[in-house]
Amino acid sequence: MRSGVEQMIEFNQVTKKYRSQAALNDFSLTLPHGKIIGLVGENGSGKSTVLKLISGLISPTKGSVTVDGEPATRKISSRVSYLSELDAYYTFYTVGETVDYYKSLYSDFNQSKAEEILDYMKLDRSKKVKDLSKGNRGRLKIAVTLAREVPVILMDEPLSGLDPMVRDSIVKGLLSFMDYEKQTLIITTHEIKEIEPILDMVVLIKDGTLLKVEEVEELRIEQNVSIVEWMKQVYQDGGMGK
Amino acid sequence: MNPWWGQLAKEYRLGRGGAIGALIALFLYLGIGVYTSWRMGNPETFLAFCAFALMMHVLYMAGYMCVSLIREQRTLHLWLQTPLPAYKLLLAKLLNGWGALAFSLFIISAITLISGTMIVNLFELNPELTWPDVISTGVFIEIHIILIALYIGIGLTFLWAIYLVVSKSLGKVSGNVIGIVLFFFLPWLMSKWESTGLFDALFVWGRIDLNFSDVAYVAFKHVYIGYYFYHFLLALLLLFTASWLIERKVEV
Repeated sequence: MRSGVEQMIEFNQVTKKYRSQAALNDFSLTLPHGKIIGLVGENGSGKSTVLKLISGLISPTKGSVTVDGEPATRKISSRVSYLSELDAYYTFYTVGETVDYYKSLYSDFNQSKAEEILDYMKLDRSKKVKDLSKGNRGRLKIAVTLAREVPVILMDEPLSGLDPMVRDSIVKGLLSFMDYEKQTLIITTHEIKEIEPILDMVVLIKDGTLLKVEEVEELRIEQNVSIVEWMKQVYQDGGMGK
Repeated sequence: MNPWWGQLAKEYRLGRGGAIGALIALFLYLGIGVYTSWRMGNPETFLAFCAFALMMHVLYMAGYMCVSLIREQRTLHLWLQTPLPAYKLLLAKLLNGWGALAFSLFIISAITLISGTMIVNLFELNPELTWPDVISTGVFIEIHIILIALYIGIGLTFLWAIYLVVSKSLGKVSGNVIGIVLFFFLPWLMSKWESTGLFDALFVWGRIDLNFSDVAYVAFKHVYIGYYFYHFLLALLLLFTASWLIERKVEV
C-alpha cells in the first residue's frame, strides 16, 4: 500500500439538489493524492453525484468542490478522466477511431498505453462500437479512461453488467495500467468484494451524507473485517463521522 | 492534432448520415418534380420544384442542428467532458452543418440553373433577361439563404441550450413548454422591436441600392448594412448565450 498525504479533492459543505430532491446534503470530504478509493453505498446514496461533481459535469447547489484548489467546473476535464455509468458511446466509430478521437482531444492521452490496454482487453481495433457486446463496450470505456495521464481518474460502476471473468480481468488491468505515484482512482461499484483487494481507502455514503471514511488496511489488519462486513456494521450503528 | 480538429472530424461523422439522408430526400423530391412535370407536359413545373427546394434550404441548418443536437443529447456527458470551451463545441457543429448546407445548395442551384436555362430556357421566355441578371440574382439569393439558414441554426441552438437547462431544473415538460413559448415569443418580440423608431435610428443606415432588372424576380430594391450588422450582433448574442448556458448551467 502507498501512503498519500497531499490533500487533493475537497468537498466543502456541499449540497446538491436535483429539483427539490437532495442528492448530497452538507457533504464535506477531503480525499488524498495517490490512492485507489472505493466509494460505496446503497443505490441512490449519492455516489454518482460525487463523481459528477468532481468531474465538473454538475455544480453544487451549495458549497464548493475543488481539485488541487481549482474549482471543479467543465475545465477540470484537463485533470480528471471520467468514466460514466451510462452505456453511451459514439457508435459510428470503430474501436480504433474511438481511441484516435480521444487522442485528438486530450494532450495527456497516451496512445501506446491505449493500444496496450486494447490488447490486454482483447478488443479488435477495426470493430464498430455499435457491434461490440456490452462487456466489450465497457472494456473500451475503461481503456480510453485509463489511457489518459491525469492526476484523477473517476470510474462510475465500471464493472456493472460484466461477467465475473471479465470483472476479474478488469480489476487486474486497473492495477497494471495505473500510475500509482501520480494518479488517484476513485471508483464506485456494487461489486465490492472484487475490488476490495486493490482499494487503499473506502468512503461510505448513505442518503447523500457521508457515513464514514476508512483505510482498507486498517479494516483488514486491526478490525479484521471485510468492507462489506464493515458497511453492514456502520449502517447498523448509523455511522458517526470518520 | 488540435483538439478542435478532432471535434470537427467527430461532428462530421455525427452529421454525415443526416446530411446524406437530406440529399437523398432532395433527389426523391426532384424525382417527383420530374414526374409531375412530365405528366403535366410543362417543363416550368420542374423549375418551380427546384426553386421551392432552393428556398427551403433556409431551414437546412435548423434541421441539421436539430438532428445533431438530439443525437448529442444521448451522449451529453461525453460532449461536456471534452476540454474544449462550449463555443468551440457549437462552432464545430455549425461549421459542419454549414458545409453540408453549402454542398446541398450547390447541387440544387446547379440543377435549378440547368433547368432554368436549358430545359425551360428563361432567356427565350424573357428576352430582356441577361446572364448578369441571372448570376447577380442567384448570388444575392444564395448568400441570403446561407445567412438566414445559419441564423435560424444559431437560434435553434440557443433554444436547445435553454431546453437543456430548464428540463434539468424543472423537468422535460417545462423544458418543452418554455422552448415552444420562446420559439413563438422571441420572433414576435423581435418584430415589435424592429418596428420602433429607436431601431430605425440605430440600425437603418448604409443603404445599398440593388440594381436588379425587373425580370430578376427580386422584390428588394435596396438593403441596409445596419440591418445586417444588427442581425450579426443578434446571432453573436444568441451564440454567446447558448455557449454560456452550456458551459455553466447545463448538467448531465
